[in-house]
Formats: sequence, C-alpha cells, structure tokens
Amino acid sequence: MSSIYKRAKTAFIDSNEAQDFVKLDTNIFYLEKLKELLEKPFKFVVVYGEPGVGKTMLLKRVVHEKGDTKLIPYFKPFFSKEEMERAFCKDLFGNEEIDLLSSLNTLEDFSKTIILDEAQLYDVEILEFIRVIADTKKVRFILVMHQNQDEELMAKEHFKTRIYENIAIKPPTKKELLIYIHKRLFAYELVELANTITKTQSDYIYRFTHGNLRLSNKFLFTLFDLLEYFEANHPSLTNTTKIDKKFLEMSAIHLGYIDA
Amino acid sequence: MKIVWLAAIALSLTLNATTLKQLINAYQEKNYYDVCMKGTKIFDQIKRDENLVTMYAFSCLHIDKIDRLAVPILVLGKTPASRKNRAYFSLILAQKNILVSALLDGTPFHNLSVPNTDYVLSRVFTLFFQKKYKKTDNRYIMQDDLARYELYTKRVGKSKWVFIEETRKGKTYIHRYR
Amino acid sequence: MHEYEELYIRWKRYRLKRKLLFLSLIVLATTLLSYLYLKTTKPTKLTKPKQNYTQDILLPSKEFEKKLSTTLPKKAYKKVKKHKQHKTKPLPKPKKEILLTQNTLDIESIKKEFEKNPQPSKALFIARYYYDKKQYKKSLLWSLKANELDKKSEESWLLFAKSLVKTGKRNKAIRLLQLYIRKSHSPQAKILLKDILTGAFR
Repeated sequence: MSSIYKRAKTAFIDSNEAQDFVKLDTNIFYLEKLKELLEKPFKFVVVYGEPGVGKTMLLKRVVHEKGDTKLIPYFKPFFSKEEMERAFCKDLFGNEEIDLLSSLNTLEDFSKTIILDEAQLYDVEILEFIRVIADTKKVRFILVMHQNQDEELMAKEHFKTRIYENIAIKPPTKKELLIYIHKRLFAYELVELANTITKTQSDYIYRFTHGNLRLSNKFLFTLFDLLEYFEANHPSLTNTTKIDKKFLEMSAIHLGYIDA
Repeated sequence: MKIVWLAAIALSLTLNATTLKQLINAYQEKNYYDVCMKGTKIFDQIKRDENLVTMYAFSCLHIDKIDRLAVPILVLGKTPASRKNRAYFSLILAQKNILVSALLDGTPFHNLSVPNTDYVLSRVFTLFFQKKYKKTDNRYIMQDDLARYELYTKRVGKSKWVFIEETRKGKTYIHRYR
Repeated sequence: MHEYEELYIRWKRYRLKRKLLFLSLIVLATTLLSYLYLKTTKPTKLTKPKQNYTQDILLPSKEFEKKLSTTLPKKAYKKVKKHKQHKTKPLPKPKKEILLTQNTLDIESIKKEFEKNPQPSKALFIARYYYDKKQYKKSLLWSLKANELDKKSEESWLLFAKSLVKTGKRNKAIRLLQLYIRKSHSPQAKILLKDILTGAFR
C-alpha cells in the first residue's frame, strides 16, 4: 500500500518524453494535424501556446510516431547563429565544416523538417538565418514557441507571408485533466488509485493549474508526496478508499496557490 | 283666551334676547351641543347675523353635525371672513359626502385635488384618497403628525355610518357621519 | 520538524479561518434573511406624510367670536317706488249673484283647504277677506290663526291690531303694537301705532 503513492509520484514527474504523451482528444487532434502538415510544402509552421501546455511533448510525440530521419528536432535552444549552423550541417550533411547554404542545393525540395523548440529565445540574426534557409525551399521549419513571442514574429513582414500555419496549443479542459490524471495512473498500473481521484478533486486542481500539464504534474506530485508522508507518519489521517480534501488543500498551500 | 295668546306671543319676544345671550355664553363655554341644537331651532332669528350663524355652524361642526352646515353655507357670504368660512364649511361638507359615498357604496373618485382643513374628517379624507393607509379587517388605519385614525363603517340600527376613531395624546375620540 | 508537519499546522489554521468565515457568512445570511422576512411580514410602519399644516390647509376665520352680539341687525327693506295710480276704466260689475256665489265658494273652499292643511297664508287670506268685508270679528279670529301658525308674519300682527281697533279694542291694539315694535322695530307697525294714537286710524 505504501508504495502506491510513491509510484504515483513517479507518474507525475514532469517529463516531455514521447512515451509519456497522454492521448487526450485535443492532443490527438494536434498530433494528427501536425502529421498532416508534414505532407505539405511549407516554409514555416508555428506551434505556440503557454508554457507547460505540452508543446514539447507533442512535437516529441510527432517525431516518435513519424519515426523517420526527415524530422530533425532541436528541443534545446542554440545560443548563437554559428552554433545553430554547425548543428544543421552536422545533422543534415554529417559534416560541421561545410558551407550550409551551398550544400542545401543538393537536397530535394522540402525534404527535411527542422523542429526548433523555444524559438521565442532567438534574436533577429538567428531568425533571419532561418529565413534564408527556409527560402531555399529545401528545409522546412516548425517553430515552437510561447504565446506572446509569436505575435512579435508575426509582425515581421518577411516571416508573416512565409508562415503556412499557426497552431495554438490550448491546455486541456477540466474533463481532459481528469482523463490525463487517470491515464497517467493507468500507465503505471495504479488503477485503484486512479478510481479514488474524482472529478471534484480534478476540478479542484484545475482551479489552480487551469489545466497546464506542467503545473498539474507538479500539483499531483506534491499531493502524492504528502500522502506518502502522512501514510507513513500519521496513518489515521489517511484513507485508503479516498483522498481527503485536506491533502489537496495542503498541496495548494505548499505550492503557494493558497495563502495560509 | 286671546289675552293668553297675546301674552304668550309677548313672552316669546322678550325671551329672544335672553336666548341669544345664553347661546353666546354656551359657545364661549364650549357647550357646542347646546349651541347647535338651540341654534337650529332659532336659526331664523339669527340668520341675519353672520357672526351668530358662524358660531352656530362651528358648534355643529364641533359635534360632527356636518349636514347642518348646509344652511349656514347658503346664508354666509357678505364679508371676506364669512366667505372664507363658507368655503371652509363647503369643503368639509363635500369631503364628508364623498367619503361616505366612497366607503358605503364603493363609488370611485379620481383626480381629487382639494385643499385640506384642520377638521378631522378632512385629514382622514386626504390620507384615504392618497392611499396612505394600512387596511386590516376592513378598517383603514392611518396617521399623521396630529393623531392616529381608524376609519370604518358600521351599521347602527337601520343605517350604516362611517366612523372615524381619532387617537391623540392617548385619548380616543369617535366621530360618526352618514 | 519536517516541512509537512508545519504544512499540516498551516493547513489547520487555514481550515479554522475558513470555518470562521463560513460561520460569519451564515450569520450574515441569516440576519439578512430574518430582516427581509420581518420586513415582509411585519406590518409596514405607517409613514407620516409630511404636511405643513399652516401652508397646505384651508383654515377658517375666527373673527366672528369677537363680534358676537345679542342685537340682531335690522331687516333691510327695499325702497319701493310709489306708482302713480292711473285712472283705470272700472270693470263692468259682474252680476251680484254670480259674484256672491263665486266669492262664497272661494272662501269656503279655502277654509276647507285650510282645515285639511292649515297654512298661515291661507288663514291670512281669509282674514284679509273678512277685513275687507268689514267682518272684523272674523278677521280678528283669522288673523290670530295666521299669527299662531307664523308668529313672524308681520301682516298677521298688523291685521290683528287693526281688527282690534275696528272691534273697539283700541287700547289692546296699542299695547300689542308697542310690544311688537319693541321686538321687531317694524316701521309699518310704528306707522300703524302712530295712526291709531293720532286717530288717523280708527
């Protein structure tokens, strides 16, 4: 019994790994949409949404499901144009020292797709470099960024006309959050525990996290951590059949959502 | 026999002066009932004197004999003061008749916009037609700065009367009209 | 102390605060509901209408109280112009018989009417009739009847006094007129009295 909460904690360790991708209706929708877009001849596709909404996990899932070498993801940001250029040369042509632009001509049109996560971090110089590459029509870009940065990007004339599609990733709904929690627990074979998480409790968590998966993961991790502790030290306060609201409230207090 | 008649006639003539004096004294002593009752009997004698007529009218008003104001209303009018009193009595008489009609027969009256007077019926009339009352058990309860009133109808013998119970300074005065 | 023990204490404080808040909300809601309930069920306080009695009401005049007197004002008589008596053509005398018959019938019918419905005007008419007929005893009787029914009838007084004189009771007539004049101040009565005293009327 005592290991249940420990295992449950693991289920909610914040992870962007493809295998941790929980299939929710909206997630599936975005996933399929991205997979469709990959068949199209675009220069830029922008995927944006608030931090923690699951953009990275989504793109990782796309890469995982596609499973081909045409997709080249970069989930960590580059600090300079030169670093980016070297990485592109290496991953596209296997050689860091070649001239990238002239080498691109050897590729077929739209044969490669580069996924750039945290694209909101890039300055004008890097964005221009990306634009030039995109204009060769040999490489496509999927830019993943936070919501507000996209607006800045859109304002730039030379990018605006080149962006094929903007995909806004919205956080899960209340209903989806509950499904997410249940599915995460199911994935770790914690079916009985999943059944103790009710809609009321999920909605309570949603009040604070608004469905943001990163924040929800953190909340649930804290919750199960608390339960683990109290079960060990104050078993009279815990209940095997349901999770008392006080633990949810304590989690909220601990995470600073409630001032107490 | 004729002498007896003559004597009687002569006697009645000499008594007149005494009666008037008595009447005035009664008024000054606030024996309004006596003034009103006797005044009705000798009205023909006093009708040429507007002051006596006014005295008689006020006495009848004091004892709520509103209908007896009708004749003084016809007689008064030679001076501004008597015309003012004539208007005063006319208003009270009209208000009494309207109120009785409204309460006994349910006659609707609209757009009543008349001056008020200091007489109890006038005050109740104004409050009633302004609908400033609370109705409980067929009694209209109202009040103003001077008193509290209960307005209701009641059968007395063969006739139905309108009653106003006026309570001021702890005392209740009952007025009735028809 | 483990951070979760502290957290538990913090949570207990939070719970207590919430309970107090909840209780105070309950109290507030109860108070509000009670107030609303009482307001709807309690008889509404009668609002005293604002009224400035001195400005909004018609007040009578009490000046008459200072002018009350036992002396009654004189009756005002309208001045009647004396018409010139024109000489009119005398009407043809009707046949005596017919006249008498007619006259007898009228008086009798009036007397009958009087019996049914005694009125001073009828009595006076009959008195006048007899006086004109110089039947002074009858006019005395009928003028008295008229006076009994209407003591204010001046004509009944005068006719009675005249009938007294005509039946030889001059002194009685004088005393009567004197009493009447004292009360009524009648100018006609004064004239008659003067005429009787001077012998102009006998």
